[in-house]
Amino acid sequence: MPRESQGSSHLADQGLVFVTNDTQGDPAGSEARRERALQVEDDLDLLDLMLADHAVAPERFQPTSYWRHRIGEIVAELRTGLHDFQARVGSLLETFGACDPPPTMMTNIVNIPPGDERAVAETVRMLNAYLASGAPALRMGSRWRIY
Amino acid sequence: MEDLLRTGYLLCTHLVPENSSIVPISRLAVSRAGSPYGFEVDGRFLTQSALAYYLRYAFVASHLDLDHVDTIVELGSGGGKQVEVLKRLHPKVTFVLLDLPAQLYVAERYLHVALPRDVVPYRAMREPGPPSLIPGKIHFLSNARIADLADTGRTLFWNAASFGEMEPDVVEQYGADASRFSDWLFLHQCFDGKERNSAEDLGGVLDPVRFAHYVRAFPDFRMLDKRPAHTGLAYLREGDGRYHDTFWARRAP
Repeated sequence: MPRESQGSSHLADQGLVFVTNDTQGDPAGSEARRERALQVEDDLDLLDLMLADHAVAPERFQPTSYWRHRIGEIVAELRTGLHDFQARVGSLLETFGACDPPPTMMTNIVNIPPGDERAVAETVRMLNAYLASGAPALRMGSRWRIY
Repeated sequence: MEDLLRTGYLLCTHLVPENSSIVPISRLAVSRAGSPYGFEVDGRFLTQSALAYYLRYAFVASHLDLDHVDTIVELGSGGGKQVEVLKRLHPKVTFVLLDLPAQLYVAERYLHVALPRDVVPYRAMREPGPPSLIPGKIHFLSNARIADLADTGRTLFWNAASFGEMEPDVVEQYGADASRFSDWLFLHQCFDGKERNSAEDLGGVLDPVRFAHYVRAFPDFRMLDKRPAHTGLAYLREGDGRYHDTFWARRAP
């Protein structure tokens, strides 16, 4: 299995991947469709080159405390590939603003009764998918009137 | 939730005064590379982060016409999406992106697709010493290369949040580096400081960088404006602290 597929399925197994291409309606026009299919090409030799160049930089340019504990996992995620990286929910690439994931409402629900976790997770997934498909988040639709 | 994003878009359209040098958001579209979640307005694709990056741009452009800037140097360029917004609005400006390798890799790969005619590949800029910047192009350099930058013309130094992820002494050293070549500063920071490192959270900072540290790091500059930072949907907060957009100019000699 290619590296990027491994990465995507790994995240998907954890319920962390939500691909916007699957949830948004098809736009009109072939140019928009071609643009939508754009992916960012991996170049792991370039990543290794950048890491090697930086490794010999003076100490003051090395990752600070804030990044030191994250950087290994970030590099590991990069090695899984950049396919649909902007759509990943819970990705470490979000820590430096690389992603624009779809809506993830109500991800911090706590004290779920034992045995109900799966039902709650599925409900949240469906609600998020509904919002991502373009449903309004605000209570103002055709049944609301503003006087 | 397109309705929320469109509300943010409306805010962006209403914020910009007519007849100003600020390019309206109606001229902006961003790339779909990597499948970001977003929305369309008049056939133009935008994302939630594009709204936030546009508002940072509009804040700076309310003080400085970016068409009169030669180079923008961004330290901590992250995924490269702020530069994408700036480049699309001001195509003649030269950009230098400085960051740690993992972040720089993502920006390099992303902008190669988003703005393929405008990027200079990282491999072409590896030679040590002052880099030969190509006017109007986007360059990717290791953060350590900030010490090599010279002759960048009228230069705006841009730092959005990454100084807050350092310690005060490191920011002071970067301040000395950036002061050599910069005429203006945009600092988007939580000036109350980020969370400290703890046993529960090893990813915090050892010593938070606060407003006084920035004043000390940039003694040659004077802050002209400071406003709460807005993402288009909400004010940006960090725990109990707020992020602010600030604009600084070099003090008269």
